[in-house]
Amino acid sequence: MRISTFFIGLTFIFISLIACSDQTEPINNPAPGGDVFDPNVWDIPRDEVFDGGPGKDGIPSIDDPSFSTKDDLDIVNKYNDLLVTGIVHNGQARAYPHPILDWHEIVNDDIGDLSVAITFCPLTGTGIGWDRVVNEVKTEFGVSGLLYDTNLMPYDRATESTWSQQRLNCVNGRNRGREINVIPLMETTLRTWLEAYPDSEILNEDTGFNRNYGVYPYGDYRTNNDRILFPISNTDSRLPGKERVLGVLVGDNVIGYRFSDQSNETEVIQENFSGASIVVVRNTEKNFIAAFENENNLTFEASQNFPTVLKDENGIEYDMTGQRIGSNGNPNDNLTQMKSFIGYWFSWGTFYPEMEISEVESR
Amino acid sequence: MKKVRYILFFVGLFFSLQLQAQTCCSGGVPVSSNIGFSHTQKQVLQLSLNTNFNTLKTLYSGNVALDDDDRKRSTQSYLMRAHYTFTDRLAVEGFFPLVRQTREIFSRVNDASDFESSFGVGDPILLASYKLVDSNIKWAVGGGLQFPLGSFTERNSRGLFLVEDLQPGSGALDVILISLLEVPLTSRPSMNVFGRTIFDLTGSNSESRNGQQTYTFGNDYQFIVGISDQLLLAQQIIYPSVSLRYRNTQRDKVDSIENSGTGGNWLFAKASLGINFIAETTITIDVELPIYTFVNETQLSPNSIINLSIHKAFSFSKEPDLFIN
Repeated sequence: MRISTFFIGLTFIFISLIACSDQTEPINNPAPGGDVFDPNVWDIPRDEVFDGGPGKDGIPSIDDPSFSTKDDLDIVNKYNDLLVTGIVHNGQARAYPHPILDWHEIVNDDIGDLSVAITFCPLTGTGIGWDRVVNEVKTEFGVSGLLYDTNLMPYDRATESTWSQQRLNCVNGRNRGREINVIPLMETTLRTWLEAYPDSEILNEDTGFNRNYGVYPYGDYRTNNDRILFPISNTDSRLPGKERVLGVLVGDNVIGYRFSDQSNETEVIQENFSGASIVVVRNTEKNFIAAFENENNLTFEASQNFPTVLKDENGIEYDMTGQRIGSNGNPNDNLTQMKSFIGYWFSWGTFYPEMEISEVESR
Repeated sequence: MKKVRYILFFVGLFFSLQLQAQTCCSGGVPVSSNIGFSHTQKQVLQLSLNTNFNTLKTLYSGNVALDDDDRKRSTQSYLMRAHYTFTDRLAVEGFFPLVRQTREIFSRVNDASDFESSFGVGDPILLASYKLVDSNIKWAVGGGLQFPLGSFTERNSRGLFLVEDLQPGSGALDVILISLLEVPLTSRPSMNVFGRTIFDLTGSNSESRNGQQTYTFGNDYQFIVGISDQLLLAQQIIYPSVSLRYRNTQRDKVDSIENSGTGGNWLFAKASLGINFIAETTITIDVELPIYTFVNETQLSPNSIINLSIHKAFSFSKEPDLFIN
């Protein structure tokens, strides 16, 4: 057989194999009602949006969460000294352990009359509560698998629009430009959370998915300040990259509050920022920090009688989520958490490069 | 007898260099272990066409397979290979790949499916080998380069860059080192024990992620040991072979920092069968299955690797033909 004949034959077979192997791509579901989002318009640079690897819903959200109580000693013993993201609504408390959130990033939940998505990005350390009612439509959020400034990008299942978690708005799709309504959350350890809310429900591992929840998926990421997995648009080296900082958003301005490295007692900080009166309470040993509105410009003092953490000049006492406790005041005299959440410092510097860092002394 | 041993050596080496495309999640761009040399007499040109299907469907955490069938990755590679022996000891070989990568995520929401794919030219390879020992035992060593000619900037339908392990190319220059050993059994001259070592020392792509980060696939080490034979079945010559392959892949790196969820160790078992259906032309099929898996953190891991190849040799030597007609 001549070489040329053989080579031509090989080429023919080669091309045929390529053609035969081409498979039909499944069609992604369009949004309900037949609308298909416009893939070409983004409110952020499209070339700064990266595929994180797992793909859309490759990190599956928890849409039917299951809960235990403190009587489930397996859960308590396993997660007691680890971080949880917690919420209190109309007296009902729930905690979502980070070792479970690390694998799912979004929990679509209903607490009484509140429909909330507990969104958590392990790469930016940001746990933010998102109102699931968007444009008067109740939806679920899923993990798109995309990242912007190495931060989670949820998508809403009602319209298939893509959002930026830390920008708090929609950047692509039918809801583009819409702001999310932030629901206050608290980040602390399960131990501290149960001390404050002993009747709290705790998200358990009955998620419907098979994951090794005892293993953190990202190695030394939480403590390695030099390790950033995806590109970020701005580097701010004022603080260590992986330091957890509470950011408080007032209009277009943001101010950051740090955990104390001087004291393990409960401390209070009061200041005015961008026209808002803010009161911050923190305790490094118990691992919580929160910011509240102070519209009446009251004077607060810290309380060392946990779960009481604050006491105002009228003698009303509050816990770490601002719930009134004790007998003073009226049942509705709760403090309102400001629009705020904890995140790794590097992510604050990326999304809010003009961010101030509070230097007010605590007391 | 020398003629037969040359043929057997060629056949044995051919089976030992079957295409082993590897998808990432488990490390690296395909065509990382598709290396080997068929040392025959001098002035012999060998051409082959390989198609390879590597499917990853099982999610592992360490060495524990998770009960999760919601995702599937595959790499389909099409290689054109050419190998030429200048002398009895010195040979060169080149690979030109086309690569198709797919990723499918099955969402439990609305039973929807998310599908991404790419298709294009991969990174070609050029190797040289030299037979150090050419007696009853044959030992050849060689090395070469994998050139970063394949695209690493493919986008999906939304115009977004695909992740590194879905790209046809790596964007990096790799150095490949290989050692090949063959020992015939004195009790049965048609049977050979072969061993192969491949080191893929990966380069870095400083233009990754829109030019903002440097991505480096993990170095890859493979050790193969097997047995090949030649049998006559229904007046047809067939070439069966079985082998074990151990693979160690180091973690990928992003800006020189190791990346979680990459790298691991695997042990595969492979069975091959070749048929010499016309003069100097062989069709081979082989199937490779994992028998041990350990991945770093949680990753998809290969379920099966299937390879089909057609191989033809042309002699330009004035010496007597060393191939069975």
